[in-house]
Amino acid sequence: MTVRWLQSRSARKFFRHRPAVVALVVISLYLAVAVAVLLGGVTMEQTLERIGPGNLPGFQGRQLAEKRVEDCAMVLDRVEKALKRPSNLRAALGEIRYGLLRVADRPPEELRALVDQGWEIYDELVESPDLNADPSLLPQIEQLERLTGQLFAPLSGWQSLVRQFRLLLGTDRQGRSIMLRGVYSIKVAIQIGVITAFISVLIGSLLGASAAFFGGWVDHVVIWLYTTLSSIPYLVLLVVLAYAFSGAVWQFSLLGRPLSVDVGNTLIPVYVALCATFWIGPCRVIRGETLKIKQLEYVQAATATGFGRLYILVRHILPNAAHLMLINFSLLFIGAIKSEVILSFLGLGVKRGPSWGIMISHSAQEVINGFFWQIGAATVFMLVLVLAFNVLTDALQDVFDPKHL
Amino acid sequence: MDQPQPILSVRHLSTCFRTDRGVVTAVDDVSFDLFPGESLGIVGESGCGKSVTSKSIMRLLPEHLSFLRPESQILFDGMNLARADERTMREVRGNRIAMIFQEPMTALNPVFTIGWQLDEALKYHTSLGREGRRQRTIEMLRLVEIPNPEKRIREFPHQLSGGMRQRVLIAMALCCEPEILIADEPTTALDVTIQAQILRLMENLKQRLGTAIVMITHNLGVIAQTCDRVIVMYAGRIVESAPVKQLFHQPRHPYTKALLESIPRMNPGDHGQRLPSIEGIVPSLYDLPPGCRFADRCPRRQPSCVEAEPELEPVDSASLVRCFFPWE
Repeated sequence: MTVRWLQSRSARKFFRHRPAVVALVVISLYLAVAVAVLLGGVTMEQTLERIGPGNLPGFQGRQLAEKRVEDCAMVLDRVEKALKRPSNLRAALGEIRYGLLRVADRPPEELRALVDQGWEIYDELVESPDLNADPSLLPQIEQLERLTGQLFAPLSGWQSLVRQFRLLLGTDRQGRSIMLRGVYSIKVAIQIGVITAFISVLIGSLLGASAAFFGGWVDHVVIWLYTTLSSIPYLVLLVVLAYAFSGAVWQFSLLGRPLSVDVGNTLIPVYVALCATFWIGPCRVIRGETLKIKQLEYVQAATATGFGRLYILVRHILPNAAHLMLINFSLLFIGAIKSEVILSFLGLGVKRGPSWGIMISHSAQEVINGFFWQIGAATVFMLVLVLAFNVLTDALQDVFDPKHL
Repeated sequence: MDQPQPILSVRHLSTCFRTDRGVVTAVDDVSFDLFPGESLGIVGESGCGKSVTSKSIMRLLPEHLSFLRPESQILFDGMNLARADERTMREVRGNRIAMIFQEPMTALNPVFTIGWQLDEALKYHTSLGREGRRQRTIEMLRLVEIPNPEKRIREFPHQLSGGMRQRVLIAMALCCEPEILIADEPTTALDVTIQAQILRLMENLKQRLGTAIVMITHNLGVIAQTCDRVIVMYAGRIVESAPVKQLFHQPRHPYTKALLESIPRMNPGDHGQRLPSIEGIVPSLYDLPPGCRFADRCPRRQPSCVEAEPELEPVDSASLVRCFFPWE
């Protein structure tokens, strides 16, 4: 079946369409990453972990001298405070960690000496009137950074690669890796996109097809439902539903064991809010298509063969509307991802862990300070996925359109 | 009596439609019998109710728009299909009474292979296993003279020509060995050479399988080739019913005669002449005249024709006619 499709005319048409192939590759990469994240490639804890100074620029970009000195001072300060608690020195030092970096396993005297040296350089530097504008101070700053670096245990080759990867896109205000947060959000976005689009298309198709096929009161109820829902501004409905769920805890028992789900903290409110509005699109389209299909002779022929009405609806009419479901799925997939970003930005979407919307909402403060790495990363991650999907949907439409060569 | 029992008896069938302009009776008091192994032709012009008759027998008309008058009876194997419930109808449809539609282009589902579609009907109506159904499918396709059926069952409707599709539809209709096959204009959408092939095929199949056929058409040529007995309909009513030879050689009703005369012929002397046609138009079903429905257009009209409607009465041993002054 698959092999036959690959040799078919539509497959050849598809592979001739270069941007579509690129888009397919990009989407596959995103999917692979999402699966990797799902399997534990990146955990939520890792995205919340402090891996370095706050607002570090990506691609090993340099910060202002003042900021660099301050970051060093912060490390010196923390180590110094730990050294002041000799009773449980190991534990105190163990608490100081930046991602994979741990305080070096040296005797306390050595650490103390390094810290003191550091403070000396720091004091000199702080006295200079304009730290940022004076290039002659750079060697001293670098020396300070080397000193603070020595406080930490050296990383093995692989570990330092991992650290470089995490620092690739810089850090946010709390020193968390933007790269990891962006990558983890791929999983969140695709999860929300797939689940929302699937449920919406399923509900929409079933309701739309039944409305058109059975007519009468079924049709009236469905039309009433979707005209009512679509008369409410979509964002308002989303906000209301998201609010209604926030903080809710569901309690039920499964196999005799009491279970409580903290609904407000899961993605369930997002799914419900998005599905409640998104099913209208496919419902309308499928209803129209079913109205058209049910007039066709093969539906009458199926009745004349003796099939029941429900069977005809499911086996004869719905497969003929499958292309519309596919197109609607990809449209809603994109729509859901974008809406999730908006909802999270408003603080109504994802509650735990990162998502592109949360990254964008967190970067509001940073943008004012001229730090664009977080908002940039979130936007590019989303843009590439959405663009690839749009290109692919377009190409698929061309491929499945027999009139288009 | 050594007369054979009819397999299907339609009695006083009246089908009405609810429309914005009120209730319309599209088929008005139609009665006929169909005997086993017989071909019955129903002929008439567009809108005379021939398709509605066939769909009424199969109960395919939308229930919220149409209804059968209470006196209607469709007697089949001891059942009255006019009163049968949906479950009984599902048992009958396809399995015991099958139907072929006019448009072979749209009567097959475009997203499934023809093998799948044949298989589906067999799965529904028979208890054959997977391999048994496959055998039967191939056998049926061979029966309707489709070359290479093993290959064809994997093809989609759009890969077949119109004639091929009509053959597939016939195969689908006959695969459950129905007692009655209703063919609603089976050849109208096909070109003439294919028409002849399909008609010959149906004739062969009738001989081999013993299926009774109801052939609905507006084409008298098709009737002449395939049918044993003919019913002529006009404005929802049967106007004449006769064996096919008698109808063509000695039409009794003025409408039948006019219909036969308006068949184009290839006589050398007719070159450049206008085709004979029937003057006037069919009366509107909303506004039927009190007398004979053909009176307006009839060359033999008498004053009494517009006052009362004639009954369908026997004129000789084999034919019935609805006319006060039938041709002798």
